Amino acid sequence: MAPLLEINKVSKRFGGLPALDDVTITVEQGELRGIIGPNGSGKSTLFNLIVGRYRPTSGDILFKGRSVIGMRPDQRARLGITIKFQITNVFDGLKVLDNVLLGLISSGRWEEAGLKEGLENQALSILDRIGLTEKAGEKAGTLSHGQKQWLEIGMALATRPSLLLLDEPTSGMGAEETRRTAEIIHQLKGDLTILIIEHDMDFVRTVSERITVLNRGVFLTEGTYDEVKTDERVIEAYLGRGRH
Amino acid sequence: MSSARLKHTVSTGLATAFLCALTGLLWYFVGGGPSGLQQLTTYLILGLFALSVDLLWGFGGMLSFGQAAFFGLGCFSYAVVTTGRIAPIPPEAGLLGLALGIAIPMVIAVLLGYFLFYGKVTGPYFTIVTLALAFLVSSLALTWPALFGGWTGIPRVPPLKLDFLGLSFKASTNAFFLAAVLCVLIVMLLRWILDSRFGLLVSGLSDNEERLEFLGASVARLKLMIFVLSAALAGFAGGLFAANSGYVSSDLLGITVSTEAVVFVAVGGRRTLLGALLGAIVVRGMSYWLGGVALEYWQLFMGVMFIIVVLFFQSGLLGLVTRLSGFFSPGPASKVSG
Repeated sequence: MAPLLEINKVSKRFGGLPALDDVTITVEQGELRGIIGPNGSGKSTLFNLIVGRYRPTSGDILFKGRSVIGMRPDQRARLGITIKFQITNVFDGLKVLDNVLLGLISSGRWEEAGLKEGLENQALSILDRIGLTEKAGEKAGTLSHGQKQWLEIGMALATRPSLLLLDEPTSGMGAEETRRTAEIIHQLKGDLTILIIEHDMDFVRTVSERITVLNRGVFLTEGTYDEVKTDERVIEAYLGRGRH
Repeated sequence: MSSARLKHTVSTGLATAFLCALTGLLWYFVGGGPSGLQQLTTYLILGLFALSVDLLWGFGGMLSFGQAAFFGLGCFSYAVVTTGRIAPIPPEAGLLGLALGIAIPMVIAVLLGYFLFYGKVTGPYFTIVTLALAFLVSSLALTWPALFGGWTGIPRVPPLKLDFLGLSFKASTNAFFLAAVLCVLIVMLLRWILDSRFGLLVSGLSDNEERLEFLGASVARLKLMIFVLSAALAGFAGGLFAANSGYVSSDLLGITVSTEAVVFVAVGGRRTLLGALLGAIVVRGMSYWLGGVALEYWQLFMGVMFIIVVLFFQSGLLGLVTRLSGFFSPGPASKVSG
């Protein structure tokens, strides 16, 4: 079987500036992959290329063995690629429940249990998974920063993705919220393939099995947390920046 | 969920019926006479036109100054068919004219909308294109006098008659009741649509278009559907307008009429449906009254009213009413069902 996601020699330039340079990454079905790297290493650019916000300058992206280059973001979402953005991005003016319902409706990936009542129940069961059941009737804009992050994960789940991209799911969270987020992600393990961008190394270690390291737009290395942590080049990338 | 939707639809319909009845009563007590009632019918029809703007702008988040192009095409469709201008008058000309007045704007909206929305023309760029549309259509109309009547327009447009039902809306009371019933039915229809899954997508669109797209909704298709639906309603209102006023001219297609509808919606309150009707009745009513007092100032008055609303009452008159009633009876914040 083909890998779920193949990033194949992908480069992205903004004007003359290379944000990603000839990056190749393969992600297997069911993986929980951490993506790390210093600021400006191209992590978010990579995600934006996968979901279709940007178009690569060169290279190819295959999802389930099929190229997604040229597809619009909504088409990719309907194929099963979903993202939680780095900056929280929910429907502030709508109820929390409606936010999740929109995940179900937009993707159209609810058909199987798509009875009229079933739809709202599906949304409620997702709210239960992310611990926001009591907030169902409130406007999403009134949620705390952490709750919005969870809501966005919930919306992403509502599209029943095969590939979930989480861009810094714990940014701006306290220790307790971070722990809760790790729990949510652990629950999802196995069901779907997840890529996580994170700065919090402890968090990366607890949630992901394999880690890919990017540095200045270039693929640096890949391996388990312990392998990556002791890799000279990784240490250099993280510590060497200040020293030139 | 479904019964709540039905309740919501019915209550909105009742509120609309109440508004129409109240307007009719006021007129009766003021003693406006048949010509006054015809005026009132015009307000309701313009209210229907304003509803199309509310759908597009209030709910869809797309501000258009070209909506009168669709309204005007509705006017001319009806006028051209019922006056036998280019072909002999067919049987059921009124109905045919109304139908064409819906179909032609829809076709144009599909063509134009396809290029606009799939070409990612959004926000202020969309608004600018609609300005150009209004200008283009009204200028084109002038270059084709055989169809549009040139500077003089088309006079003696007959009122609506539905022979197969044996109904005539020549009498001003009949016409008013028809307009009122249509207002109620169309508000209910729109409410019903907006409370559906499609309606939730529309809410999502105006709240956060990008998020919606990344969740898998085809934003372009959604916008196109709203655009075409609102063009159909604008065209329908146009046909009714022609039947009621008896005269159409090319300025009905232009920017002034478009802007007026935007003012109606802003003054009455966006995203409420009822507000669009209320805005048309109040603004037109006031300007009619002012026209008797100080004719040269009514456009100035409309402009000032618009500015005041935009600056101080962004939820419009209806929002003001809701706030006041909330002040007198502080009810609990709405809780979700289930």
